[in-house]
Amino acid sequence: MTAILDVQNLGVRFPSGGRDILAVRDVSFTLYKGSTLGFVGESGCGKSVTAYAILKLVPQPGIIDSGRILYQGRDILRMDDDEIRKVRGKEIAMIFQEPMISLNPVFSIGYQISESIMLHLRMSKREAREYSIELLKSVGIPDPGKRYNSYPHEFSGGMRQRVMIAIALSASPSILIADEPTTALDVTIQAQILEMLLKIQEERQMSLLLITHDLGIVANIADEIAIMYAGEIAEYGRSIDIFKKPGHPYTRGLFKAIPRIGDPRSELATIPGMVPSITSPPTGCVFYPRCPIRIKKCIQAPVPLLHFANKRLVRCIRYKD
Amino acid sequence: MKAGYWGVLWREFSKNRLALAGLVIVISLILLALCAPLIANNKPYIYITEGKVYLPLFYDIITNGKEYAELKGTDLSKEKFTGFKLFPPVAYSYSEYDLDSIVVPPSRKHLMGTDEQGRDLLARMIYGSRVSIFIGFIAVIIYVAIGIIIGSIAGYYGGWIDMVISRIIEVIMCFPTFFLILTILALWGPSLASVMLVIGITSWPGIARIVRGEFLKLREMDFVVASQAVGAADRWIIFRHILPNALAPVLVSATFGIASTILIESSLSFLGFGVQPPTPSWGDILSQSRDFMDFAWWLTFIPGFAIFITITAYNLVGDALQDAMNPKSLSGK
Repeated sequence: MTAILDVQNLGVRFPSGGRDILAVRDVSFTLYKGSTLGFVGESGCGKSVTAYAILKLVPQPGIIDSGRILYQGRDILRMDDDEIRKVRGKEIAMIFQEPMISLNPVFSIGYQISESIMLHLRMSKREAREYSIELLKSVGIPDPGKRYNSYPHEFSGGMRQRVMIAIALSASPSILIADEPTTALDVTIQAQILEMLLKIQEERQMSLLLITHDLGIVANIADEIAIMYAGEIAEYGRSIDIFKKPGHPYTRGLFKAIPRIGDPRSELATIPGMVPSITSPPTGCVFYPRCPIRIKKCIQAPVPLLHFANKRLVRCIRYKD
Repeated sequence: MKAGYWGVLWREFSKNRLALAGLVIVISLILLALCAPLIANNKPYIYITEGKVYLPLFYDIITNGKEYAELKGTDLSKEKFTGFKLFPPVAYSYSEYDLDSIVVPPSRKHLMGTDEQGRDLLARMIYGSRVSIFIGFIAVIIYVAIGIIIGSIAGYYGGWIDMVISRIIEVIMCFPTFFLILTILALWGPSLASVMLVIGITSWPGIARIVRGEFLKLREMDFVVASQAVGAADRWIIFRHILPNALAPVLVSATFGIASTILIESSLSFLGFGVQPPTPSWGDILSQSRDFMDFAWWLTFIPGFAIFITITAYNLVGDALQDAMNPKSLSGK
């Protein structure tokens, strides 16, 4: 497997008054050609910010203050505006969580697809139109010729997400970043969209970076998983390994919190406590206050990601115990 | 149904009868102003004499003020009837004076009466509408353009750029605009161009503020990030994606702006700072009428009423636009 995207020691902070919010700290991961990496974590854990950072689109006033993002050997963070614009959409495309507001309400969806086609591929208006209709068809929009002239408000959420995917695919990117692509959709539509994403990924040998808070989704799709907690990667490895034997106590907590059909327990398991504020992370393990297996040693020194067999990384000193 | 944003807007707008009436008045006034020389002119459209056909009015317009050489000295006025003549509905020009009929009240000959130099008031009113509407539109176009550019830069980039621009806007807003305009006109000298320009460059802060606010709101929308993510350039995003979404409130403000610009022009003309004679403007006609107010009511009433109707029509249109854009008033999708 060849690495296509290599993120090393990424750090993103948001200045806020005197104290900075350290949204992403020391995040490293590798995305391989044609494979799927799932980023899992709860709201505010930094998974979306990491995704935006890959396209240098960290929302204001965020600052990427450390690390390297190597796309096919070139550091994205060192590209100037013109260079990064050629990467966005053409090499690395992105789809968003809210299809309801990701399309511009004043233009027809056909126009919006053609726009990104004409931006990156040298096509005439007519060719762009034909290609757009083809794309709409491939993402499962019925009667694409007619729907080409429809406006976003005439589409349902699931259909809009399909349009977003068509836009993202328009320049045949080698990486697709999907930031919670199905969170705003209902469950049956979720399944359809994911299935379609997988099909397209396979056909095009595209790499997929899937960001989600839904463990069920990554279980089915991802080759590898990174579990994020409070701006750090808590656990990283092949998804079969992680699902077979979760290493980090946080991951174990997450698995316990998945509801199971036929489970006699009336209440869902939860992880006690709250996500710590990431303005001033504690010296030791960030999960310490909520950890069921904590010991004193955990807060005495920062906990590094510890390497184990099968390229497995766990940020817990008690993993072996 | 197939309707984009503007289609929905029109549907909502057209439900308001009063506003439609306003729109009809606005459009009629624009047509009147555009066609003024064809409606009020002392030259006939067609003049047939001794087997020859002349088109004096069109010849005059095309050649910019020349006359047929062979017709020189011929009196083309309505009363001296030789041959066939077809006159425009108002057979007087705005500057043609008739010392035999000074300050005559409205009659069949002069539908709106005449002024102190015997000029037909209706002809002057029709030409005056040109000045009012021309100034209204051009000045508003100037300041809307300035406002959009400055407002969108402030709103899109935010940060210190926004800080600096917002403070400048506030400083300019603190000036009493009318006196600023008077001062500048006193320096430049009054003329049509300087009135338009001065109104244009002093009135943009309102628009800039609206556009800035819309941009601040819209740049957080996912479709803006989405279009950044496909690699669109800033300028493209600003003008192609955000601006069309921000235009609606600007349109409302511009409509009200035309009304207030017409009023400013009238006030300036009234004070003698506006368009210079013999070009008529409504404010100027009103100002001339002051001396005859006691006995020539039509000289005061007609231009005053015309200004009132025009302003009201624009305001009705603006009001209805505003209502149509209010999402709360949208009746279903």
